[in-house]
Amino acid sequence: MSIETRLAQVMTALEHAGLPCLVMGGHAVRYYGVGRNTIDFDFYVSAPSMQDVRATVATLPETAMLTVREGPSWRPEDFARFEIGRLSDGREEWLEFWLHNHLLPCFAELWLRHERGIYGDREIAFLSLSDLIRSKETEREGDWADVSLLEEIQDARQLAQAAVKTEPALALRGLRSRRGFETALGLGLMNDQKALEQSVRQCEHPVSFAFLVPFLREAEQPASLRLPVDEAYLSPLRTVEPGGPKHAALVEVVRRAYKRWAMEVDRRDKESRSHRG
Amino acid sequence: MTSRSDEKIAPSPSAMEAEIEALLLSGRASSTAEAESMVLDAHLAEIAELAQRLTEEEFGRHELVRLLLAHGSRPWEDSIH
Repeated sequence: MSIETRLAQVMTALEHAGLPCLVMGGHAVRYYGVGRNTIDFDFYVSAPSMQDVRATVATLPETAMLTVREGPSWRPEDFARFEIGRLSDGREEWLEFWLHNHLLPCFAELWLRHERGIYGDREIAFLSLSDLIRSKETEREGDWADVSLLEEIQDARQLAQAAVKTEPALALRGLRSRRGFETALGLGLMNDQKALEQSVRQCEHPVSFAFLVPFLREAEQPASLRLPVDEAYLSPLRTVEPGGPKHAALVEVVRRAYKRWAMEVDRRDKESRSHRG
Repeated sequence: MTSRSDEKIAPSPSAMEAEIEALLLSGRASSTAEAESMVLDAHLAEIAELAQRLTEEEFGRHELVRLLLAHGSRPWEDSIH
């Protein structure tokens, strides 16, 4: 059985048990186009409490799960994991549930923007691409490798959508990858002053703002930015040649600063949870 | 004139290479990639300052900048498509 089919089988069992869920983690990364091996099944679920999730998992039919054994969790009220079987090579298969995740909003909000797609021969509900990227902003270095690949895919999707709707701002405000930026530059989107002004006001990520600000040197940092760009990096960004080598390097400086900040936020969350536990 | 013994001496490491080596030798970094990443994170403000002070050519040649771009988001030619 392929891992996609196995995921579809698990999803069907969860739906029959009445547990609304969205696929996240490695399978969602695969769905969005990054080839990657995974044996874990990660879900964001909707339930009154993690005890309700545990009760539901206990009722899952044996056709889908060979065994259900709960494993340790460092935040048991928010996250639970269950071993559901072993692969032929002896590796354990884990079913993992998030009820609350400090990087993501509530399930209802995630559901509003989720994406459905065929995976393992059936339609599956996945975390939206932007939410998936956000969920990967953890202290684990490996998650950031996924982030960089998913950002390229998100940029490509948004550039395609912007072309169809002839609204460059749709792509510019969320630019995250060097490849996406080079594509936008090649398409001449940076020549659209009105779109640039609109996009800068709507930026949420400091890297997107860093891509755009050399084209609008006086632009204010919008309140929507998740993390403001440090003045030490912003000042040279306002003077460099747009699209030049200095611009490219300063975007990477802002990217590294953001990553360092996000890793620290995640580390502190884990630390506070483990102290509480 | 260069003597035979001079030729055997390896070029002295740059300050950046020395920092990377020190991180590896002390065990604070477990791989070269991790050590390079730590060095970059420690010099972000310096790179921003270099962008203001150096010419485009000097900036592009600087070892910290080359390391930064090698670690950053991939350009078109290295991309996944």
